[in-house]
Amino acid sequence: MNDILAKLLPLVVALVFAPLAMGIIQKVKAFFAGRKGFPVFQMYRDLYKLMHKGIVYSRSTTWVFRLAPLLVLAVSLIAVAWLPLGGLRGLFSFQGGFIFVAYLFGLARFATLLASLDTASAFEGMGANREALFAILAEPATLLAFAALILTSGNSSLWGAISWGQESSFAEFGVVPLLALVSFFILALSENSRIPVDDPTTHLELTMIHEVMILDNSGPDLAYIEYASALKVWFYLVLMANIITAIFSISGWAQILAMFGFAFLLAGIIGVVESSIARLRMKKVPDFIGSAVAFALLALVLEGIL
Amino acid sequence: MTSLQNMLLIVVLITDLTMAANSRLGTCINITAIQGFALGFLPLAIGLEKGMNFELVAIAVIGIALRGILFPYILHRSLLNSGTSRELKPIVGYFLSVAIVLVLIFASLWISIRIDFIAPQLLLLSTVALSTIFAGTFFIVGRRLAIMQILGYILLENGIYCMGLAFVQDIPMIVELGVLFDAIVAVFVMSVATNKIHEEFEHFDIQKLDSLKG
Repeated sequence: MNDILAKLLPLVVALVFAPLAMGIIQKVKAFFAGRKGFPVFQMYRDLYKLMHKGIVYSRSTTWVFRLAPLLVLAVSLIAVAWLPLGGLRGLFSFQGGFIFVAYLFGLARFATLLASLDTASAFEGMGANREALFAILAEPATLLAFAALILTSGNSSLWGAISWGQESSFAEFGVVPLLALVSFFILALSENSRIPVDDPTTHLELTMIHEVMILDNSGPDLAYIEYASALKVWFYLVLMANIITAIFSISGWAQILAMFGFAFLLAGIIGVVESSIARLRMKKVPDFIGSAVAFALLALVLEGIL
Repeated sequence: MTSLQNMLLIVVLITDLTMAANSRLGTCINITAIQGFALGFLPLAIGLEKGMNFELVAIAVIGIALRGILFPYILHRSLLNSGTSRELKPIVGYFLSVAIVLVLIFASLWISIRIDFIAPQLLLLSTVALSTIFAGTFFIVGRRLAIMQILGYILLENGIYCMGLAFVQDIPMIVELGVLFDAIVAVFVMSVATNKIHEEFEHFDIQKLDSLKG
């Protein structure tokens, strides 16, 4: 019984706290803009409100458009079930799990792309185009960073890749996790459409990426997509928090508490980054994501040598 | 090498890479300041491992004061005079620069492995040293503006300092001071020269030196 609880806890925590992390990012941004901002729990209310609204479908859409939000939500829920929390393994865990999870998010993105093309809107097509391009650039960085961590830990499940800290200290593994962390932070910004790559609050169709693709979604469909993207942000936050706690070799219950601290701290840092730097020009974005590849590659090579 | 030293060295590598990606001169100067601080704390980290002594503390304090504070201050001053804030159209583009610096890092890793009198635990230090030297040289040839070339020189100097630490574990303080004072004079002279270039040509762009001025 206890065992099942321990397995379910990371999933339940993710489901409950994901919108809160978004709220914290929002609050930090509001603070830096000199505004009061809406409450940190606003996203729960938004989701509740959206769930009680009706859905409007455009006449040009087909079943693809109706299926996509459900698929995105379902796939994100499955991916989060792999997410470990501190010393607790995720609900599922097997060797090579990180590849499975990476491509689950890929499937979610594919569904969003298809749905946005299905609306036959020129703007949404443009958004889909950019989203696909940046996703392709981010993919090698994700896999290389994971590869570096896995070579460090010698365990290729998602849990093993980021939890080597229990057995050994940072001094032994040195610098590889640190570089992987830098890489993951850049990925967290680009994969979740945060500011240097995409502005989540913009409403200019020409420059939007993620937001333009979901313009036609409404009601519960929009709620599913918003919730799924909150889960994805939470996934990256916990991934990075896991690496940090492992670097400091914190373990046991203290690790789970520290994970929360670091996850929300990282959310705050994302907020600070978003308020302090301007959005990159479209053609500069590949350079930014390319630097994530560079850090991941460096981590991998140093891991092989040191 | 303890984890603290490794962490400082990785900061140096990250600053090398970010400098290749950055177009703002002011940010580049701040990045070299961060690198200067990381290198300045390195003797203290070594001291924690092997026992602190007066020389290490003195080298650390002087290193931080010069590399972390004085050089960036001088460069920020000459940047203020110029009114240029960023470099447009460098000779080698930013993405390519990052790729080149990455290749240089791998090359220096390969070289460090081949040099057999470097102890395995000093591998990272000598890699960082060589790659910072290479990156500095690359910034000297690959950038147009005189300030970026001074930064390249500072990187070169930082790399030489690391190299000293890698090859000779305890550098005599007098040698260390000699290298540092060399760097001070060079940075002073070069920033005076860049100001002079700016007065004559109204820009830092060294490509303009090709044209004759009466």
